[in-house]
Amino acid sequence: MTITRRSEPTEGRHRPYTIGDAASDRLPGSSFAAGTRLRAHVGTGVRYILLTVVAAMFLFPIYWAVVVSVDHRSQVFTLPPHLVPSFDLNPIRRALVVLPWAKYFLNTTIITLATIVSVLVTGALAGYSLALREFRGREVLFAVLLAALMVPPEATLIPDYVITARLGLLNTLAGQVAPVAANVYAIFLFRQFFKTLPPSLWEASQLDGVSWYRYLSRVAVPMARPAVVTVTLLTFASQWSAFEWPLIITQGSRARPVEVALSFFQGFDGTHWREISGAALITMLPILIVFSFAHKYIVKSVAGDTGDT
Amino acid sequence: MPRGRFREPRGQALVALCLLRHYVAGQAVPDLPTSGSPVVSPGNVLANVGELAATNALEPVGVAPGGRTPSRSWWRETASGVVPVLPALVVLGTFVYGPAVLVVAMSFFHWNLAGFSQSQFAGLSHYRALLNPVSGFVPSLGVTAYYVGVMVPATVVMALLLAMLLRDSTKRVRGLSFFRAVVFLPYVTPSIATAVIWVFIFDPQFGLANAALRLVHLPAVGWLSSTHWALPAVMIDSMWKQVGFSVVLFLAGLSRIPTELMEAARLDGVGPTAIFRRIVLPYLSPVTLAVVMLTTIASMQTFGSIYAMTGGQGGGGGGPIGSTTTTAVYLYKVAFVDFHYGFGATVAVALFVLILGLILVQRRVGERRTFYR
Repeated sequence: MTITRRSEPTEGRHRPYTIGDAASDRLPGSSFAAGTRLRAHVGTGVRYILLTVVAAMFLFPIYWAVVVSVDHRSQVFTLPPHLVPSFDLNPIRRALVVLPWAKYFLNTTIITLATIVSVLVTGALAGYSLALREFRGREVLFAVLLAALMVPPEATLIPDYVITARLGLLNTLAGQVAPVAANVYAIFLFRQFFKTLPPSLWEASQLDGVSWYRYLSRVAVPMARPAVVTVTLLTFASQWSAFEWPLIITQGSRARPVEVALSFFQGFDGTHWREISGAALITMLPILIVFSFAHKYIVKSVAGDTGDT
Repeated sequence: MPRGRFREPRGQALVALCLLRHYVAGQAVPDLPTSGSPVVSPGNVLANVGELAATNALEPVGVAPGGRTPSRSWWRETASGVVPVLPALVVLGTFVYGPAVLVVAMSFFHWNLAGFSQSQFAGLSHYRALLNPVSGFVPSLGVTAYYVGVMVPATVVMALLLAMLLRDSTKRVRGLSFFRAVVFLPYVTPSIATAVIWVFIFDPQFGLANAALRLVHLPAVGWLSSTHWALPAVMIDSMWKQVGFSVVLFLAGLSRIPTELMEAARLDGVGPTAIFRRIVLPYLSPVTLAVVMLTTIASMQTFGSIYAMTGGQGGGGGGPIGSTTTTAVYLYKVAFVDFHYGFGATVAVALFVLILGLILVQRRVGERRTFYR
């Protein structure tokens, strides 16, 4: 099987393979001429250059948004474009006053926090039961939960809208939380984590007459911190960026989240580049801040250990 | 050899489905970031979704009963076991299981919001309308096929190239985690916020894209206002935004290739090209299949960037003469711009069947093409 055990410590692992890098192909100690070493240095240099080019390409659109939003109008529309902006914060100021952004940010913040809390609570509860309780039909229940993953969200979009309308949740914050208040992946994650806790903990707590929710809240969840962090980060990223569902169920600014507001702002008058870019930057600022602190963690949480660094 | 870290074989199949669907939901696929802990780590299996698929793990799995003999208090145990799951069950029942049934029922009605009793039965007429090109569904399939057909191979190639560049092969390049983060960053940024920026870049008059074209003496194009170039412009945005996800998958796959094998091949004088073709590519084939499947699903569901880039606020988006109206966008327009809920439900059912069908076909092909030991 191709999967190696990931629990191995990263240190002291195999020496990573190389391709097309002649110098590092050789084992240390073998006598290779300085020319080979030089070639290796050149190879490393070339890689740095390529990496820098790639990084510039990937960062460019965000950088360009900064340039467009803070540059003086006269310079934005010139060709070739000015890449180094002269600072003028008036467009961003204007963008901030034409729409009630504070309200939108508050909406999105409440929606995101409420979703994170409910996903964590429903996930930890269900995960606990599926991992530690023994009852008939447990595996059936787990399979039923996982079956929910088979249904693409598009398939349920229209009925979800109808149901949300019937529940009176159209144009509310709750209507944006409820459909995603439980996440099968979070349940799965908690279940797997709880299963790895030492059974003696659970047994001891039962002998001591500790109630299950006390065990869950005081022992199991604190020990499952990596799962909690992963679920929190990914729920944050997906809810902050949520668009299609809130677009469908919100009207006016009462429950409108930032991304929908931004889309409307763009729709008013697409020629106000600087104001729109400024608004776009502001709406993604929370994501950028969290990402800059937690990027290693987020990248790992997406694909597991990528082998190094 | 042990396969992964899943103790229960049953778990694997379901995780694969789980991860696929997670991606379907437009969310990142998470993992326990706990290297070094004994935890059964689902994300590590992610890169092996393809492998799981290839080994038939995606077959529906029968579920064994709990194994306990029923006692007088079995209902009590059941109740105390089910109660903690109830909150999740209520949410999923209301917004997934129920709607999944409802959408099929709705597709047979001229549905209106007053409910089934107030709606006229439509029989199969919606399904017939699907096949009628006038309805716009068939053209939307064409647009989707174009979009998916470009995005999938382009993503595989780009992601593989970037992963080879970003892998830590020599231990001499510093700051790799920074470069990886940069490539991954667009994936977590909101699609609307970045799409509006791309709109400016693709502006026919003042945009950078045309400035660049003029610089190399190529004719400028109309980009988002052109039927030919609107979708490619969206593809560039999508590529920029989503390739980082696949890069990370490939990186995880690369780190799983046994070093001894590479060393041995190298000592035997196998050239780098041959190593890449004979060792790296075969080893990556499960990851490649996963990337293909996940990119297919993600591309079929792209909505936000298409909406924001090609005239969303004026009539639901979809580009000049429907040139960027993929089926996902079409579904939105039918249901929430034109308010044809019944026909929208039919489109939703069709889209569901289509996604599932594509995944099954890819799996079948993947079974034959995927190398696994």
